[in-house]
Amino acid sequence: MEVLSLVAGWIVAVFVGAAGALILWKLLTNQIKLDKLISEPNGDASLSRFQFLIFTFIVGMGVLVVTLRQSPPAFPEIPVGILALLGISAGSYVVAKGIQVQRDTRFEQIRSDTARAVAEQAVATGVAPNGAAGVATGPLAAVAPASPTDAGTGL
Amino acid sequence: MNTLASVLTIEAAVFVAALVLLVSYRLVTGEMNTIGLLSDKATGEFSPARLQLLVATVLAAGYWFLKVLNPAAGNQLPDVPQDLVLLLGGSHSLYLGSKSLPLLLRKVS
Repeated sequence: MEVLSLVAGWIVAVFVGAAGALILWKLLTNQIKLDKLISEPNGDASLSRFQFLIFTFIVGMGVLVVTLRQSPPAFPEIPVGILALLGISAGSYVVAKGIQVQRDTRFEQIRSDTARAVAEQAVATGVAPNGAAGVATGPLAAVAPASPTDAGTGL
Repeated sequence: MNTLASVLTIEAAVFVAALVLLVSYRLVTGEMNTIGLLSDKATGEFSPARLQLLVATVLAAGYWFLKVLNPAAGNQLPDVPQDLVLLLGGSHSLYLGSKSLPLLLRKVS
């Protein structure tokens, strides 16, 4: 039985080693691209993704250091404080997304209201809107993005 | 069995270290996109709230990792101090507040 577990262990070790080496090789040769690792779908870099990256690496390296320090190596217990740290980060990401969606929706509403008002005014006065329809002016311009693409979805 | 455990440990160590080095190198050389990391998504301007959140994150992560490296930590992962959690919570609150401020101002006016 001990021989069987030893053989199984070596098979797992070889498999994990090969998989890790393959992933690293593909990363090095750009077959796995990292350029958009912390980017949002609109192309902008995301602060929350970057934050997750930092925490993941730090916690990962911390676990590794503590594991290597023990003899024989053993997986350490994860303290509640680290989970709280990651929870704050994840919660903030979700709330920020909510704010972003709400803000985009509101901007869209303001833009369509402005366009409707301009069109109604044009009908009432008989003057063409002069291409101003849909562009936020006055106080609206202070918060409304110039175009729908400006209102990115990134955190 | 000890040899097997050592091999697996070395594999994990090499993989994590290589990954960290590779991602750090790509970040430093600009091969990884960081455009807009500190900019407000609505206005496109530099955002101090984002900068303070980034600084707080890096400081908190660095502080905790230094505690891990300290041999006095022993064989357990050190817990995150309450003050650090509060600092990060406050930093996130400030960031979220600055993000939602234009929305709140519009509702008031």
